[in-house]
Amino acid sequence: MSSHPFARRRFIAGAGAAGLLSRFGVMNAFAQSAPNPQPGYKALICLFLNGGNDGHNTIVPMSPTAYAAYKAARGSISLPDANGGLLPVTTPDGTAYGLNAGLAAIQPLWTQGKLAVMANVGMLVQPVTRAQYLANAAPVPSSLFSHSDQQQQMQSGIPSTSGGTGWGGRSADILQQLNGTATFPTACSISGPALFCTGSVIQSAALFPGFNLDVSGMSLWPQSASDARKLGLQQVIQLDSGISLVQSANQARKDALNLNAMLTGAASSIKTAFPGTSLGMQLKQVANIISLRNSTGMNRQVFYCSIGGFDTHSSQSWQQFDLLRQVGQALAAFYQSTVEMGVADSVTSFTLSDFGRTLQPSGSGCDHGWGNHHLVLGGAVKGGNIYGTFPTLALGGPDDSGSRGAMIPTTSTEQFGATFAGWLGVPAAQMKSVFGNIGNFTNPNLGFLG
Amino acid sequence: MTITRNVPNLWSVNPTQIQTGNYEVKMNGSNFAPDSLVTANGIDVATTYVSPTSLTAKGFASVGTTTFQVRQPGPGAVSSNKIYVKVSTSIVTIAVTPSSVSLPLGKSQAFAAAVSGNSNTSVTWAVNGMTGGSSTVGTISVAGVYIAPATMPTPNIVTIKATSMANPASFAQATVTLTTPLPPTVTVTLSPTMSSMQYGMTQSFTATVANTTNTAVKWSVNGTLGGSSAVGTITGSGLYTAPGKPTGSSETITISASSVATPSASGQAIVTFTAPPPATAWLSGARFLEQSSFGPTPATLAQVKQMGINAYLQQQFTLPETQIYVPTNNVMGDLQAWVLYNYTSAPDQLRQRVAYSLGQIIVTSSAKLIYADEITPWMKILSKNAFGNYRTLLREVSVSPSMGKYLDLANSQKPGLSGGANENYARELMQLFTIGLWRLNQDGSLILDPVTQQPMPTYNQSTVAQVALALTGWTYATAAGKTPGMSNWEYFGAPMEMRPASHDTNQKNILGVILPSGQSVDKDLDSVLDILFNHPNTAPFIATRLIRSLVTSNPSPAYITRIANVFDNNGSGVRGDLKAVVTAILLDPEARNDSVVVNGGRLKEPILQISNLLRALNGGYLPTEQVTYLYDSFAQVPLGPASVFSWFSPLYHVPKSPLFGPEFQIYTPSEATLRGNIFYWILTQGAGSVTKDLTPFQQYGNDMPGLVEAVNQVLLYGRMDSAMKQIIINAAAPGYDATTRINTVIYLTALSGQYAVQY
Repeated sequence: MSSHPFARRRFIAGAGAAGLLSRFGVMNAFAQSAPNPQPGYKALICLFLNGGNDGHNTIVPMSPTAYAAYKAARGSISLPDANGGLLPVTTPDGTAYGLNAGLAAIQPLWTQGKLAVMANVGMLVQPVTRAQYLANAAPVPSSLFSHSDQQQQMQSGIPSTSGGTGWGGRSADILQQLNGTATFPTACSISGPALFCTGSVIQSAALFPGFNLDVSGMSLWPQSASDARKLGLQQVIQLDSGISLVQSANQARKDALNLNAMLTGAASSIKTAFPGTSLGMQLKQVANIISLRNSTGMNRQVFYCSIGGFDTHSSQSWQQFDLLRQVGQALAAFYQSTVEMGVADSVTSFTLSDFGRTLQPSGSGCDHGWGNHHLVLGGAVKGGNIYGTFPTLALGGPDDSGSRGAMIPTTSTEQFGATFAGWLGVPAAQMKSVFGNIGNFTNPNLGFLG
Repeated sequence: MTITRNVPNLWSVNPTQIQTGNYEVKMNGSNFAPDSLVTANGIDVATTYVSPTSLTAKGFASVGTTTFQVRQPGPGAVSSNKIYVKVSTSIVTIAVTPSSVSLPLGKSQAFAAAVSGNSNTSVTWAVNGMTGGSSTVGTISVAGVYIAPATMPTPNIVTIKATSMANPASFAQATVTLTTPLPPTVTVTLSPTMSSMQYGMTQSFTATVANTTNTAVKWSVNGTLGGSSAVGTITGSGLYTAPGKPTGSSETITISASSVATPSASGQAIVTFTAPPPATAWLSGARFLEQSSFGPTPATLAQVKQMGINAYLQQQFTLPETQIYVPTNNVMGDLQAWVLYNYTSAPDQLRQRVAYSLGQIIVTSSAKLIYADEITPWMKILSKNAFGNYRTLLREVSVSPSMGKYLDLANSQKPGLSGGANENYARELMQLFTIGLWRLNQDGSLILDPVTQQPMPTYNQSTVAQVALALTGWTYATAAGKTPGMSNWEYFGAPMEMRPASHDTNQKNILGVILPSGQSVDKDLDSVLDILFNHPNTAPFIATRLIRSLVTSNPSPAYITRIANVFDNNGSGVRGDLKAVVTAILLDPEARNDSVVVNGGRLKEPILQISNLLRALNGGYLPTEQVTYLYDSFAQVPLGPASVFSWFSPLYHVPKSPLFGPEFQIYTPSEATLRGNIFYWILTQGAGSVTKDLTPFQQYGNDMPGLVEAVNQVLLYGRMDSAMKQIIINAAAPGYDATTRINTVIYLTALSGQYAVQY
């Protein structure tokens, strides 16, 4: 669905790139002059690890007692092993942890204080203890341990499958007013339509890496036929039909042509090299869009990227190492690009996943769990630290929901999300409209963002 | 001395007749002298000496006869003989055509004599001076038809002469060169010699063979004996069948019949192909079909036009239900591909469209029901009950294994067992399938609290919990050969079974209605469904959703009221009659208003718009299509919405607008571009996944207005305005060939907002 690059450039030139961009340019001027309670630019990137990343092997406690407990519980799949080791990191209080060696590319960012870990976070209705859980004495999210349900819940931030919107989208519903009249989508998935970005007010825009919204069929021989067809499209969607919905449908195509011009023009402006992986390309696309913030007039943006393959029921060791290496390399390049663009302190990335996995192995892998550890990266992150409560790694232990080490989260996904939403500018008074159960938890700001 | 002058001789006067008035004539003769004078009727006239044999004279003549003479003045005067010249008010002239012809012996030739200058245009015909000719030199009729003699005269050239009857002095001649005839030539002539045919039609040709007793011929098309599938075929008896579709090479072909006796003798006929012109769309019928099917086809448009909307609607209600495909190996992708195929091909279009709409209210999804047999029970229930009763539909879907798995009612047990009553189905049953979150007036508007002026919740978390308890006690059916368990493992071959032991039998209070303690599993379910089905919200709630899905995103409150009233009572006291509701929605004046309404219509979602385009082009998906995956990027995976809220929320507003536009939720720039790109793929590729027929557009050649009008009729039902037509004409005209021009016109029309919206 891509056209010849030269033809595409001619299309833009022929369409009058200045004309296409002027609408955004005008809006940019408007946005800058409009009252803005929180001036400046901020972007949040959700990186979803589809399948349920094994947090237990993403960060491992290295103090002798804790490591011994880890080793005892994990048995055959404990690290280090033949495929990968653990990279030493230390929290400010001097506690030693080991980062999965796949994350080598971002290990230096821990040291620089840009990378943090959120420990044992997951979906909750309210705080729940092992005793309450075992006695069915407290409400818990529906369909725990089910991929489709828990992917949905982690993105919706609603502890049932009742959610038709995502917490990124609902945050964007509120944040979009900071974007004035700019029309670039406030919440943007870079890996196809995603619930995370779906709001009640905003459109859930989906972009695809490498697809700059090029319109098919616009490269013809002779050139005059090409030019006439392109001009025809632009003119057809400019007509005033007198029908509201027809005009709105045409607006979507106008926005698409504008985005096409901007995305095509942005591709070469970032010098940071990204890995050629799917995730690398997704995050490069995010960086491209961030680089356009002055022409789009956007002040707040939410992005969604994803990578699959984390459902490691078997052969976990090398699979997880390889996947985390992709994550680490792509995140490292992305962070570097934000430094290059001078927005490192304004851009925060974090991981989400279906659920954690069981501490207890099953063969060469492990099974669906609940609470999980997640990464948070960015210049605004108070990094080099672990937030929340690191669980006791013991089968049937105080954090175990049963006997296999599916950990009961000690921090809610809603608290995790509310911390980001607050940083982006969602007022505390409106936090409950984004996170319906946030009132069930004492702390809506976990403090890892400065 | 005696002077003797030579006597002048006057041989002729030219012209031989003169017109009244001033004349100039030429005297031909001999012994003329420089002083010779011409006399007319004895009077000298102005004379010019030219030579001893030529004089010219000028004078004035009156009707009658003028006598010319030449005299030599005296001494020794002498005069010539006299010549009489007729003077008339006009001069008769004759021309004979052909003036020269070559003719075989025994053949005839018609001559024509054009007489001017006299009202009497009759002529006498002569051959070699003999009036009517003779058997030796040939005869000529009074009408001028000359018949050559049977044997060659000497010389072989004869003169045909036509003489004016009005003035026998006027004549004209033609020559005929007589030739020896050749032996007779074998000729083949075809009838008809030219034909204009539609593709796929047949035409009979006749070959007449002359000058031989062997009248057998061999037929060929474009030089190929018997023709071919590309150029059309022809039988031994001359029955030609045009190719089904243009080959792209030429729009004309040549039929040829050659004599078997003399193969060099052949006759030709030219066939020009025409495509059947697109029928002028009937806007009312087309709009109705956009609302009641997956888009008009040429056939359904003709059908509705012939039958009328009401009769067509009744016929749709009676059509047999299309059976749902059972994929081999239970592959969901195959079922999804079939669903798209079915949308474009099923005859029971209205049932399919209504089931598709109901499936966006009562939702399950392949995102969780990952095998075909898991979702098929739900599909069957929607299809079966599309024209049935909503209460029946609710009951069947509630206990279906599809819903049991999707929203966790299966194995939901009373507190104290397992995980306790699952609230998932209880919540969605109320929020999405029946009464919604907020109390509604009959016209769909929110009832506001008289004190706070805030919307009033329909139910609260306690209601959810109570309904969840009432719905405990269902498990999957017991598969053949298995032992029934308290919590059966997933099984999709039958509706769910009751497990009284896991049913909560306490009293429940649901929206103010008490369900007494001790009710059975199914009694509690039916009580809950009765409460919700009969709740005043359900009629406006379901009416609004169905109207939005079928007709318009922004129905008037009156329209919603009319439909909600029909939901409440179909006219025979029956509540929830979907056939009556669908009929009322489609025949409502607001649906049947063909004039433009500013806030009317609805954006077509990907499945509908792409089906519309394929069906408009008289094509559709193939059951083997390989492009279902593309719907992932359109955010409308067939059978696979991301959540129980379906692909888009019926409450979604058009961005930065007060208008509802549910489908706009998945019409972002990327999705709009990708959707447009599949239009181009359909036009230019698509083989193996979709079919289409562009031949109706191939007859226009360079006629851009004709082509644009044809596309206007097919895609916009005649509503394209002149500005848009001109833009598209300008865009298409530079196209390299007809195919490119056709693609441009259809593509740009399909990309327009006018085609994106059903209005």
